[in-house]
Amino acid sequence: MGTDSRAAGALLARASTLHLQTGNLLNWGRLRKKCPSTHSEELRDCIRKTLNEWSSQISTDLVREFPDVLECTVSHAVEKINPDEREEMKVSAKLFIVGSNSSSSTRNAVDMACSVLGVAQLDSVIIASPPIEDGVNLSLEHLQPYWEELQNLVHSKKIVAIGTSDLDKTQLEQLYQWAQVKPNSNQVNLASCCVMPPDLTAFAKQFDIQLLTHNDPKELLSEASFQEALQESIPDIQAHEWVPLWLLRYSVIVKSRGIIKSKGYILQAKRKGF
Amino acid sequence: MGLLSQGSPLSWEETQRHADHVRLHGILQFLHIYHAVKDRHKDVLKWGDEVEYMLVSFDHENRKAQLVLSGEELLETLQEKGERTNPNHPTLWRPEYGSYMIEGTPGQPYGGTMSEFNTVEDNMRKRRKEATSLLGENQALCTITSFPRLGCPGFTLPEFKPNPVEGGASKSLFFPDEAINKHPRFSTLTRNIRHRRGEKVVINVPIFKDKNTPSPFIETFPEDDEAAKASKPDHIYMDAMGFGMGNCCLQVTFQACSISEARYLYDQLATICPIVMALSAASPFYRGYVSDIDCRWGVISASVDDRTREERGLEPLKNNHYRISKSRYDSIDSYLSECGEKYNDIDLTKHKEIYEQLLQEGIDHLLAQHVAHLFIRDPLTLFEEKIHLDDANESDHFENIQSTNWQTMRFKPPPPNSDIGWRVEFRPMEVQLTDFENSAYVVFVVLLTRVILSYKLDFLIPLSKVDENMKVAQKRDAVLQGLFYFRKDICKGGNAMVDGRSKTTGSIEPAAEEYALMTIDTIINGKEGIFPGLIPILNSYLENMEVDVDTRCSILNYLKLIKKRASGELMTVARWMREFIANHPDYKQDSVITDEMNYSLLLKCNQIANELCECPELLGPAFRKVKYSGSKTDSSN
Repeated sequence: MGTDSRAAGALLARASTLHLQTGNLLNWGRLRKKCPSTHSEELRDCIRKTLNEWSSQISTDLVREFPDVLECTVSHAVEKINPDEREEMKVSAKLFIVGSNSSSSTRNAVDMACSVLGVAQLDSVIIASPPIEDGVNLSLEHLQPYWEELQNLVHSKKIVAIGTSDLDKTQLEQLYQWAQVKPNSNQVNLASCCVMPPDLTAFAKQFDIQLLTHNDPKELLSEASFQEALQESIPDIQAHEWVPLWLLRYSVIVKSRGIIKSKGYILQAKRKGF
Repeated sequence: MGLLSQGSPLSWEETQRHADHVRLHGILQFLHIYHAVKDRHKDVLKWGDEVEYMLVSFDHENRKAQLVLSGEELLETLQEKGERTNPNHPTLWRPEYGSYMIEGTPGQPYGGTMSEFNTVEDNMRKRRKEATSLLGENQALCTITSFPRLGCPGFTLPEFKPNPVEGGASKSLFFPDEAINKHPRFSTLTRNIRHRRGEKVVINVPIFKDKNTPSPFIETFPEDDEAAKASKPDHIYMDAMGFGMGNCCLQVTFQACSISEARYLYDQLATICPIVMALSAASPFYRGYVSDIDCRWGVISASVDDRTREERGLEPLKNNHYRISKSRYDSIDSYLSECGEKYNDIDLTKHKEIYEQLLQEGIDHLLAQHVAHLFIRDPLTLFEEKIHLDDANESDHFENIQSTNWQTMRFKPPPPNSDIGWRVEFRPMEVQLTDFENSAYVVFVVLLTRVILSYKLDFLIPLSKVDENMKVAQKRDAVLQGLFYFRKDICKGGNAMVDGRSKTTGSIEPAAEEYALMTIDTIINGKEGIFPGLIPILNSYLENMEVDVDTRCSILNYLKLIKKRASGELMTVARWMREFIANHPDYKQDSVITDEMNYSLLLKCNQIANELCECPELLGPAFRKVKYSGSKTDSSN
């Protein structure tokens, strides 16, 4: 691993942006023996393995180029959707904003997901509640910048439907009243699927908002855990200089058969000061 | 239980004369279907469950529960009011072997979206309610796998005495022919199995030795030579098809997207059969005795074993063609998919000419040997009017053989000229007391197929090991005590590279066996470092699917039941019934179930099924919000 990670370290020292994508995790064979882990564990694991895989395959040409944007992938796991099968698939994504607000994050993430999967449009994008300071309640203002961007993407036909995650009835109602493109779904935590607050259920029913479930932790990826993973894979870099901006998890489902065709993560990180 | 033709059934001698005709044309019919639809693909997921019910009457005064012989009339009314009136009726009803049984299925198959999983239980409730509403006073529709006093004096209503004479169907000392469904197919099947075999069927189930059970436990049958010879010490002896086919079970059939997906799922699920059977164990009692087994499988297997003494290897082959190692009702004998081929380690008896013919017709070796294996059997029933058929447009002769090969899995070609695709049927499960449990098992199996396909899982082990698992699975308390061969590394679809790299260097595992002995808890719930567990994998699948909250809540409760049954936190129906009897004030620890005990057990079962009482040790803490009442039986006895 020594030479590999040295090359990777050198590249990371000169680049400003890192795009990390896992490819289709179903091609990884990662269920082996290990019990399927939580989403956070799975994600950290994916980041580490993607970095390892990438750094083991850095060509000498790339090292000479010193690109500003590093595309870090598990090349053999990359899998585009066959255009002939696009109709049978439902392509969904959930976007987690990690870093400080950058309005281009949403668009970047959706563009990258489309290009990674080889599709023109995502069928659904759900935005996880953006990180806010402790003790502050999530309000409409926190969501607005992201939602505006998502609305634009719906208008430009990059996304079909947009949704939210973990909003209570008041939050969902505020968004619904303000939004031009209404949320078509709101995810709730798996733990509450059998004890749903009746006001949320009633509101969702009235305005035809699907209530879906998720099992994501409050913070799927923190800056610190990303840096830890980075440091672990590529020891000789200044991992603390790197901040993740957003993370997108996508899934491709064969609609009428209930089969997961593909699933993966895409992440963008920037080096501080760039 | 297979197709029903109206008409005049032929005797065994006549049927046997047409056996080659049926096989010849059965194969031609199969070939027509195969060539027409072998390239069908992109079929969507459709699936359905089948639940079998018993009609039970409660005599509260004399504290006696009996099986009501009115299935035929009930069926007629259900069909008349249901499917014949409205093609979109939500339920379908079919006859079953016992005159006290009916089978119910959803009116239309369920579809491939996640929310369909939330309609199963509702449909089962509709079925229970619909049939219950037509029952007489003090009668109930019960989903019990085996009636504890089946074959005991006066177990039917009206009561009939068995008439063990040659002219009848069963010739049983215990099971009167009147308890067999009145459609001629069923009695003919019964008689022809017995005639083909050359003697009555023999079922010996080990008795549970309690403190006061006589040891050795010996029953004597001075008036019946056959019984005297066939019955074994320390066993409960039974002598009729009704003891097996008169039990209820729970099945699920689903449509695959193509023939190759059907073959893949057939193989994968074959390995799951013993596991889910042990988890569904619900039949500890036979002929009024407590037995030492928890599952009905072996009983049914023996109850329809039509093999002659020659075929069973007791006499040298003279009139028959083959030694046959299993009953027509048994576990599968060969895998069908290419990845299964190397695990086909059971000696497969095939009809050689048919095998050659299928190969010549371009059918691959694995499918050819499967069909040629099914076709070693003779047709058991044949109707005079249904001998000469249009092979290009009918499939009765193929189905005749296919549907009387009652195996753990069934590979089902599409019917001719239909828009149905290739299907697979999962058949080992015992029926549970409640619609909730039955939904849980069915949903578990269908979800498992989705997970197998999504993650390209591979459960295959040598088929002989699956057979060993089937034997273990039926034993008392196998769910907690049994050890089952299971594949250690079930992830074949993945690319080894990624994982291989992350492994610490130098830890190359020796080329050990691909499988190991595991408990059901390990298989279902996983064990760190040993096996991931089917439920954790299901959960990981579910997290990647869009599932609405209501459906997710139902699935959560279903998987909780399976998880807790596997870990022992909740009892199987079999375990619960054993404890109920053991704690009954009348029980003398002699393995005998009296009418009174039978009555209180079934009454309790019916109360649980209709949510008139809770049963946390079986179902977990009460979580139902809506009380449902569909029984006419007065619970205050």
